[in-house]
Amino acid sequence: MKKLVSISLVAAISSPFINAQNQNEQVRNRIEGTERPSANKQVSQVSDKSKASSESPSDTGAQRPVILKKKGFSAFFGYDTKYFYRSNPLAQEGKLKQQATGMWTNTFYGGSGLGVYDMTDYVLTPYVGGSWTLNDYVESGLETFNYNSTGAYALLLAQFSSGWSCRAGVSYSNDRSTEFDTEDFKEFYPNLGIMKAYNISDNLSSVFDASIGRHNAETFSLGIAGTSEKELSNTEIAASYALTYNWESLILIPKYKISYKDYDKGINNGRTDTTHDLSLRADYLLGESLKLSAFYSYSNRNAKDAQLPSDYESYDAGVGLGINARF
Amino acid sequence: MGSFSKLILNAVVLTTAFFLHANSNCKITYIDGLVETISDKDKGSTVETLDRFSAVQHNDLICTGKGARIELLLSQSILRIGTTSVLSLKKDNEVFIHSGSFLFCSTKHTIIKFSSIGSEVTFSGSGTIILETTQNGGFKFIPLEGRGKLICNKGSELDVLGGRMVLVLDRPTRFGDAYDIDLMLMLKTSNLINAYPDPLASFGRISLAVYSQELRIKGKYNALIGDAPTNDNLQIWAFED
Repeated sequence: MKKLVSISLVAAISSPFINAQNQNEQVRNRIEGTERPSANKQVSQVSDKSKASSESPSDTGAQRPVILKKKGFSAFFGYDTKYFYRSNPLAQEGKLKQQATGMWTNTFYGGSGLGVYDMTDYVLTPYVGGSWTLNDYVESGLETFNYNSTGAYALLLAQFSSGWSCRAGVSYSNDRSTEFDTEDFKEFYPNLGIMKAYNISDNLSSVFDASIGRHNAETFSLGIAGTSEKELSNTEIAASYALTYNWESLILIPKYKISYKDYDKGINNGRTDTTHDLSLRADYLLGESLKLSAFYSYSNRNAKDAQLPSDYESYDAGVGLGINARF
Repeated sequence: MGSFSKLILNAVVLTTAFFLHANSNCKITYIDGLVETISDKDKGSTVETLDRFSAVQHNDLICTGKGARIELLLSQSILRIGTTSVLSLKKDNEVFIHSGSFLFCSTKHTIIKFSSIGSEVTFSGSGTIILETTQNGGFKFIPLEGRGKLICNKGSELDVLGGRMVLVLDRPTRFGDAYDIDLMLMLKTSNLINAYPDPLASFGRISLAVYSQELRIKGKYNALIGDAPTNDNLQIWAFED
């Protein structure tokens, strides 16, 4: 009986700790399964090419006068809201559908182009910007995992006449729990990337992108032997290929991305992840600055030499609305 | 000097004279529609229809019919002559345009003189440039991309900037007003770029100039620039968006 009491006592004392540890692991899983806003995407979102608005019968072509900024400084800001289903929000190993939830995210972002510099064979454009996202789980009992993300970046983009562009940048990300007001995660991510966009036909274009970067991450410790606050740090190599099909106001974007991450801190030392992301997005332009989206994305991570279960698969499906302005 | 030596000397002089007078250093790389040359080498005008293998000679007037176009490969550059144009290659580095339009493209530094009935300028640099004659005898100088100087015989010079059109007026020649024009629209509507089977060697640079301009655009006028009937007038056609 004494033994039973002592076991119960141990269980009662350790229960909050175990629960906290489980929750920490779940938050950690959620962090690792989070796709962060891309500076490159925000910058390109406001750099769409203009459309021809008239035809000219002459061989010379139509000459429409324009007003140019003297130094090319620009500013942009926008708002995106998404409401979607996520099959495995805590990125748990095993089935595709675990603790499935609805999610509502609201992102506010802004940035500035710090000039346009013609360098003979390429054009150099520095950008700085930031974003703030509210991530809310809805109708699934996961509300205690709600969090706000902050992002900031500085990016130097060089566009070459061959169609290739190179970029070098550093970004900062931070996740803060809405429920507990704790900083669950932060990272600095210096990175280099290349991109090539080309037209396949009048309506179809494609974009190839590759990048390498170092995630210098900090998070809470899991409280087990050998663990470290920096064990989410990794070196990532990623490549993606996307097609963009324009049909009047409708834009279809299928995309595939592969990423390889090499971890080297704490219990993750020696762990490597290979992640495949497949997505399809349909944007419908309601106006020059307003678009309605529907999207589906599937993600699959395969981790090697991980001490904690780290393989997972998940999918999102939902709708969104985006508005942006450029000055 | 012996008679044999005189014979050799005469042969050298005549051969040199023949080559100096006759063919320019250009060849036809594309031709579509009716293109004729008018030459006055035999003290009377002769008209010949050009084909892909014809030789173009200095001072011949090249005339393109309605819907006709021709592309010439010069030593360091490309010349595309637009529809219903009359043009002559005075030298390999001197182009006279009577009427119509042409596109000049050189990726290497070149010095070339452009002249019309009423004006002439020298371009020193590289780039892709469209020239269109105006009723006042001058022409529009429209660089799609490029770098270098545009020099008029009054001594003044201008930096050439992609997308900045300059009106060239008068003799002695002076520069008129300059306008930044929508390069993307120009690129999409110009037959001098789109009506030829091969892309220009400078297409990447043109794309870069378009990209650079897109990042700088503050606004667009709802108007198109037309002809310049006199030195003081430029037609502007307004339209609704």
